[in-house]
Amino acid sequence: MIAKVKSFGVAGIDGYMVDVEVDIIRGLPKYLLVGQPDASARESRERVESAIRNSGFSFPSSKIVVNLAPAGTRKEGSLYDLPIAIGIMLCEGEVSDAEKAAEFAFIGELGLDGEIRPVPGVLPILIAAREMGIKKVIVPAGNAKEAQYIHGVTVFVADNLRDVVTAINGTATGLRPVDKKTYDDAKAAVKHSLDLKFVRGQFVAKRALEIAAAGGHNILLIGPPGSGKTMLAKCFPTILPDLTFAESIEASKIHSIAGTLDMTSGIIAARPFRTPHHTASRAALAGGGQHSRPGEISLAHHGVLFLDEMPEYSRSCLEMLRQPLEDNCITVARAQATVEYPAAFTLIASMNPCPCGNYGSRVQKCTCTTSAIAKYLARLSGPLMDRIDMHIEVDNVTYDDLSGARLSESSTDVKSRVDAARGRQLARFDGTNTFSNAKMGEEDLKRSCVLCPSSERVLRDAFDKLSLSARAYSRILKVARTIADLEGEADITPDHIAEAVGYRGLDRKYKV
Amino acid sequence: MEYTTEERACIEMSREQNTEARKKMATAFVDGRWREILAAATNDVPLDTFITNMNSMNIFCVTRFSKTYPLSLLNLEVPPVNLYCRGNVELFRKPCVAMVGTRDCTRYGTEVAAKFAREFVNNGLVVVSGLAEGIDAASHLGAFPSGKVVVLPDDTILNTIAVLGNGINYYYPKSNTALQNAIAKHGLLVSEYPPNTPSERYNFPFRNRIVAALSKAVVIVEADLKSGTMITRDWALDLGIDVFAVPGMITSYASRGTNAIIREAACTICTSVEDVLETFAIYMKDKGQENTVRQITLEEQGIIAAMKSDEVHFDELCETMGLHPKKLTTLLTKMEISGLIKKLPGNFFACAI
Repeated sequence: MIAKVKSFGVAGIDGYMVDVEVDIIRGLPKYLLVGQPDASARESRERVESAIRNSGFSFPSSKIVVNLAPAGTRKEGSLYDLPIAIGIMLCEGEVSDAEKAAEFAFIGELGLDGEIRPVPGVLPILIAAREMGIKKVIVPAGNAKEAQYIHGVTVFVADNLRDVVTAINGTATGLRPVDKKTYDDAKAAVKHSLDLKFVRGQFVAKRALEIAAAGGHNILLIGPPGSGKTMLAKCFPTILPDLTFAESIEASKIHSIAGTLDMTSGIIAARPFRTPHHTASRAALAGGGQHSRPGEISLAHHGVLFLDEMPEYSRSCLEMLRQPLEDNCITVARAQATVEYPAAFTLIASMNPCPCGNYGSRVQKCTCTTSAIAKYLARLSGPLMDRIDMHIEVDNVTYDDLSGARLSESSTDVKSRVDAARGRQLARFDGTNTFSNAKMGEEDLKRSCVLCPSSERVLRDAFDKLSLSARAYSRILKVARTIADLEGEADITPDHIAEAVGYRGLDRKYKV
Repeated sequence: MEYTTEERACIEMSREQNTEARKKMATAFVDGRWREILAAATNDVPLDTFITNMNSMNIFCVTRFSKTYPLSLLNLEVPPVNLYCRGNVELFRKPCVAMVGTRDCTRYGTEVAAKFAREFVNNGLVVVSGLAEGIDAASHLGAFPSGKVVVLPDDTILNTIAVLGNGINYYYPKSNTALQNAIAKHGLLVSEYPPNTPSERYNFPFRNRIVAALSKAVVIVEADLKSGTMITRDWALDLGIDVFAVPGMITSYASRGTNAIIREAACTICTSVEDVLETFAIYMKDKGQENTVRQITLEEQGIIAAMKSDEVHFDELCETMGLHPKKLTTLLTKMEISGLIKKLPGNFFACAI
């Protein structure tokens, strides 16, 4: 007898249906798992047998063939334990109601005692299930939170194999439906521990962060150690526009697959803020590896990727960022599979101004030679710098005596301006694939950044007098556009251009 | 390039390493026995091969017997018998002013050096320096039309001579490589040491005598008390060349030397290029031409007043001026474009010199 059980797999960031077919053939006891399972899927045999036996059911001593269809794609992970076990028990007659069993799709890893354990990737699977018209899905109790926000599909959780079997057989109700929640509930639960108002001084940096948040611009913070670069960067998420539900689902899917989704909330409701250490490998940043897993840049999707001490990252890691910064996604090609992960993030990088860290500081003297500084700056390649819109210098000079004079703005106030500016951008780019000024293409640039003659003159003078590099041109236009949006003005004025030029510190001759 | 027998003798002398042979050559030189000098040479590389090699490297020799040899060098106790050159030898004929100073200079020093050099060049003088880091490099750069090393049309002539303490085909310091190449192409590189001589620290003070002797005036921009710059000044005083020193703040280490020689009255105090140009009997005509760019607004006046002569931090300006950061950034960038102020590393701003 052949049993068919519905389950799901994950390719890239999307789920797809997998039919788990079980056949029990007369012969020497043997367990064959086909359909390109990876190591953890192949080990299901031991878990499934123990789980079935320890739940008080019988395990056949015949030849068992399990096929994960479609057989052509690679199946990863332990989520097929539960459907395989159900399939075997259907064949054996332990699960008597085959029709009822066919209503459900099953996902879950089994413990040796029959316990159902959480697995990664439940969110994209539920979305796929909804799209395929599957009404009922059984997921591990540990994944219940993820299921809360997917409407249109009834999700049940069960604690162990026995509960599932008895529920299908109709003898007891071990299945609990998951209560649905709205995205607003999740958003309301978001709390930031930091606030811009705790940052003293640093007026330029704060203003620059506001612009970066409003336009989605990549930003580089340059300053001596202890000058508050990291603090500023960590405040950045508090002024970013809210994550929309669509964005949230996309981000949550990625985190669900990577297994980094917070099990207490079940969804990403605040923009992700990822800070990979500079020893990170290329695969850790880009994604991929033997078990294709999204990298840090994808985990930062719709959020912020913060590279602290940027020149310390390996050259190959930094160069790898170029393509995702341009295309907002990364294609990881491996011998076994090619996966595309979204990676639309805002890059915040920080660095010291020189190897000793004190160049430009009035507190400590810099001991670096000119060539050492030049070499240090050269670690960031031109094409990479080309993708960074603003370079901001921060410094460790404190003005305690001045700090009382002006109360700093709170993140909420800044955020309201950012939201308004984002709104203007969305209205302008309505019907296109662009969502922020930073991601404008050549076409958008020509359409949205028309300069009046006096603005044109300021820009030309800036190039002549301040020896800006040619690649700064479109960056300045984009930043000026965002500044105009923050002001609520339709046109870019000379003042906007001048301010944008002021944020291009590294283009200018850096050494005194 | 072809050389006469006298010239070949000079070249041979300038590259001789053996002390015995040098002595013999020196006596023969006084009497003009050129063949004897050539015969005494102990160098492994034959002179003809050496000359061919130099030609292939675009290096030529200006010997004591060349028409282009700068006669002012003969005032030296030990004039160089031969100068290895690369670049535009015509510059020797123009009036030269030496600009020297410390390698460990301040922003004030580099800006003054660049400004002075620019104005000297605009008045037809040639800036001579030693191509070291700091003041030397800033002085050479001042001779460039844009104040920095850029690609220039092939026929551009830059009024600057760099006197090296090592072979011309060596780059020292490495940070000035681009500058040295540009001077070789448009200006003039000079060294009394044959090609392939590495940089030896004892050669540098000695080459300073050539820097001084080539020039009619020596301007010291910034110098510490004991430094190579002070050696150049000593050479200049021995030769009777006018020495000018730019005063600095009494608290600045980089100006201790210049302030000291001003106090000792061992030089002329120099607060503008006019002081130096008088030596060359050049008088500047239009003075105010440079600064009449545009009207300065009230706000800009306020910022300049707030800066005084000091470097001011952005946050401090923000507080004292009571301006919103966005407004101040705009204003400062505009002022920077107009050349009124300068942005410094670390978000500091200062009035342009």
